[in-house]
Amino acid sequence: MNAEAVVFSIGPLAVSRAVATTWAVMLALTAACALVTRHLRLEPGRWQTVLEGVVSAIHGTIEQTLPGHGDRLMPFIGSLWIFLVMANLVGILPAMASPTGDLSTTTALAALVFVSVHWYGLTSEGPRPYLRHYLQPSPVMLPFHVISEISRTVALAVRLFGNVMSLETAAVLVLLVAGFLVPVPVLALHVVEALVQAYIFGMLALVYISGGIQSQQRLGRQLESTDGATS
Amino acid sequence: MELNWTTFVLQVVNFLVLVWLLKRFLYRPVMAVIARRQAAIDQSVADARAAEQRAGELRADYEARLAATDAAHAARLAELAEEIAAERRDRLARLDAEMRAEGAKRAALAAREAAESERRAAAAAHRQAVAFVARLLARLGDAHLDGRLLELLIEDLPALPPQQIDGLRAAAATPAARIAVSSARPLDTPPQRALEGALAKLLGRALPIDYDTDAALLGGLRVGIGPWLLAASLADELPYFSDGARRAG
Repeated sequence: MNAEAVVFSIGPLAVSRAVATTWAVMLALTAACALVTRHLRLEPGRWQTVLEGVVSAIHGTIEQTLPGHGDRLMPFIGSLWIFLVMANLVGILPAMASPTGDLSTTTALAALVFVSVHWYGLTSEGPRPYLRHYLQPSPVMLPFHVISEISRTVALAVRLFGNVMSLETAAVLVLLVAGFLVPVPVLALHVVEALVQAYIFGMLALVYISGGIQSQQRLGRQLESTDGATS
Repeated sequence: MELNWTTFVLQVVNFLVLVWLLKRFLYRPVMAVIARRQAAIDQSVADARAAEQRAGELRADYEARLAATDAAHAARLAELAEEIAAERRDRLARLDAEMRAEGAKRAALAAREAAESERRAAAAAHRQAVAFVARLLARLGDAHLDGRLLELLIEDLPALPPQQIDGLRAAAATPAARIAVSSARPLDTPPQRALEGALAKLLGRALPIDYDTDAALLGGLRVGIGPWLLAASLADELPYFSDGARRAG
C-alpha cells in the first residue's frame, strides 16, 4: 500500500493515506483509552491492569533515564511509543498501510522530537544556560553541534521510515511471489521490527531530550564549581 | 518517497492532538488512580505504622504495668516475709518464754517433789525411828523405868501452868470425879501412895483412883482427871520426840 496516496481532500487540503490512517489510529486509541479509563477503580480489572502496566512502564523508563522528569515527559514520550507501536503494526492489517511508512510522517515526528529537545532544554533552566552548551567545550564546536542536531534528526526520521517501508515492501513482494501463508514469518518479523523501531525511536527521543536537559545541568554544575574555585 | 509538506504539517498537528488526547484520556486518569492507590497504600502503611506504634505503646504500657505489678508483688512479698519473720520471732520468743516458764515450773515441781520425797523419806525415817525406839523402849521398859517416870510426873505437877492447875481442880471438884491411872505394868503400893499424895496436893482434895494396866504405854503411866489427861508414858512421849525431831530436821 502506498502511504503517500491521497485518500480525499478537504478543500485545498489533500489528506493522504498516512494521515487518514493516523486519524484512525488516534480515534481508536482515544476511544479505547476513554472506554477503559471511564470507570477506573482502586482494585483494577484486567484491562485496567494492562493500561496501568503500560503507563507505569513508560513512566518508569523515563524516570530511570531522567529522574524527576517522568510526569513532565511522559505525555510526549509515551505518546510517541504508543502511536509508533500502533502505526507500525497497523500495516500488518489487510488494505492498511503504516503511517510510519511515509517519510512525511517520520519527518514530522523527528521534527517534533527536534523541537521538543530544545523546548524542554530551554524551559528547564532558561535559554542562556541551554544555548551556552553549544559553545562547550569550545565555540569552535558550534558547527559540529548544529550538524549533529540536524543529522540525528534526519537519521531518526529516515531510520524509522526505511525500516517500516522496507518491511512492508518485503512483505508485499513475498506475498506476490510466494503463496498465501508464506509471508507469515515475514509478518511476524514485521511485528517484532515494529515494536523494536517504536522502542528505538521513543528511546532515542528520550535520550536526546534528557541530553538537552542534562547538558545544561552539567554546564550549570561546571559553572558553579568554577565560580566556587575562583571565589 | 518524497516529503509532502501537507502531510508533514497534518502529522505534526495530529501528533500534538494525540498527545493532548492521551494526556486527557490516558495518562491523567491512570496516573490519578495510581496516585490514589499509592495514597491509599501510604495511608494503609501509615495506619499500620500508627497501629504498630500504638501496639508498641500499649506493649510498653503493659510492660510498665507488669513491672509495677511485679515490683508491688515483690514489695508485698518482702513485707509478708518481714511479717512472717516478725511473727516467727514473736512466736519463738513466746515459745521460749513458755519453755522457760515450763522449765521453771518443772524445776519447781521437781524441787517440790524432791522436797516432798525428802519429807516423806524423813517422815518414814521418823516413823521407822519411832517404831525402832518404841520397840527398843518396849524391850528396855521395866518397873524401874516406870518408877522414874512416876517420879518425873510427881516432880512436874507443881510446875504445871496455873490455868491447867485450875482446870484440873475444876474437873476434880465435880461430885462424881474420879481419877483413872493407866500404867504399862501394875504399880506397887509405894508408888501408888506417892502418886495419890501428889495428886491430892495438886487438886486440893483426895479423889478415888482407878488403876489399870495398858501395855501399849510401853512404860510409865497416864492419869485421867475428867477431861484432862496427864501423860508420863513412853507411848505418849515418843510422838513429841518425833515431832520435835521432824521440826528440828
